[in-house]
Amino acid sequence: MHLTPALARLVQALGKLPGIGEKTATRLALHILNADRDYVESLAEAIWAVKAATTLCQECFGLAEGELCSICSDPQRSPEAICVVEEPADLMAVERTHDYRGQYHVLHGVLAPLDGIGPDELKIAPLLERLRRGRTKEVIIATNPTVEGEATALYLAKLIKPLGIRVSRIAHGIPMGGDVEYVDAVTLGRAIEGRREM
Amino acid sequence: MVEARTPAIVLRTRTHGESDKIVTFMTRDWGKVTGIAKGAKRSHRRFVNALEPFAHVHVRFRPSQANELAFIFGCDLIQSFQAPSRDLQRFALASYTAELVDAMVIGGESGQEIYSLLFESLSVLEEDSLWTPLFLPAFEFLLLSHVGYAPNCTACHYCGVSLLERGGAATFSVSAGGLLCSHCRERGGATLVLSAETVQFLCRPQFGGLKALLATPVSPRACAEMRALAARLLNQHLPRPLKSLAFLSQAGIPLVSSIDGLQEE
Ligand SMILES: [Zn+2]
Ligand SMILES: [Zn+2]
Repeated sequence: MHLTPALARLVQALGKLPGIGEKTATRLALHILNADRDYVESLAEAIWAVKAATTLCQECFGLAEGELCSICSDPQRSPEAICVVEEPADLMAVERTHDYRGQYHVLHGVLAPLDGIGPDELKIAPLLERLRRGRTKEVIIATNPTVEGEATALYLAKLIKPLGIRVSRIAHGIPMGGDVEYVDAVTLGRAIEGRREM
Repeated sequence: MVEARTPAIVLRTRTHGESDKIVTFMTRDWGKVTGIAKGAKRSHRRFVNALEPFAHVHVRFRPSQANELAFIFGCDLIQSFQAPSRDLQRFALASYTAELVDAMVIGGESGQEIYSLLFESLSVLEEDSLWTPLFLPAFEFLLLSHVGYAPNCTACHYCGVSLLERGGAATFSVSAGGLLCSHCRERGGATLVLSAETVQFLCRPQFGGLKALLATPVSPRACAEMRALAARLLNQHLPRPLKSLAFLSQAGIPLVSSIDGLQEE
């Protein structure tokens, strides 16, 4: 296809976005070209602003604008529970449940010895500092159920329990609408292990 | 399109781009294989739980030319070792063994022994009853011997006298890369003193496999000596420092009980 240099540049930039192939990138680029000037300017400004304005919350290391994120600065959110997650995207996933009213702490990774990622590379020291302030009663560890996520959970529990704070791990198991017969053995084993009384 | 199938153990995985994973396997039939699993981060169907470190799997892949990534069609879990997810020290040990194999094995030329050694190691970590402090030095010596770097432990490196018949202690010379009898030790430069028990142990034929080695009673001292010796040999041959070692000390996870009272001169 013949593209002007400016269009080609936009197609190339859009094509780097996840899930966008060359065809979709071209369609989006043509759409932007044909859109009115106000929309295009606000789109460009929004893209620029997300990079310029977004910071990490000084308290939980989730995404923020300014010093504290909207959760840490919300007096309705209980400081008694802290849910520890690997990445900001995981925080957003837990928020989508609308069930959790405590605060968060984002580690920005998991312990990965083979990649040289140890405790110092994660936001573990600031977590302990938060906990030492004494307002927290429970830490819910919501790292992924992978080998490294589990090891990170074990490591955190080892550090946090001596502070006299309750440490819990999110349950792993069969997805809603799933079928026991087709669930893999490891997941099913974990589900049975994490069963609860009715 | 050639499709290779072999049992394998996952050494490490890295995410690649948005949805792919690059996975390194120690396979039984094809040596060490690194390949790309397209869509592995999204589609859990073709790779259910099977691309986790230390997983024992059947892998199906298209072999590649040297230095290129193999293409992984699919991976089925045979067994998932639970100990590394349940105990930090086992996680540390499993990580260290996997990284050591990854670093010491170059590529496809390695034989079945290393796959078997790794499988046996993970099985030992799984069973409390099989665990002994000899685990680490035994693993290291077997690996060194499988990749062809084990020193000759039966005779003095200089005068050739049989250390087993002679009995008594010996020293390991880093510069000579071998064991020296008590007469020749002066010529060896920096050395590590090994007790008679350690020398005896090292003279044994090592090919009963890891579990057989671990069944041998060994004093804590001999254990520590062997660990110190293995560490020196590995230092000579490792192409790069191991990342998992730095991790272990940073995380305060003991890899072995402390090595006290070793004589180094
Ligand atoms: Zn915050
Ligand atoms: Zn000699």
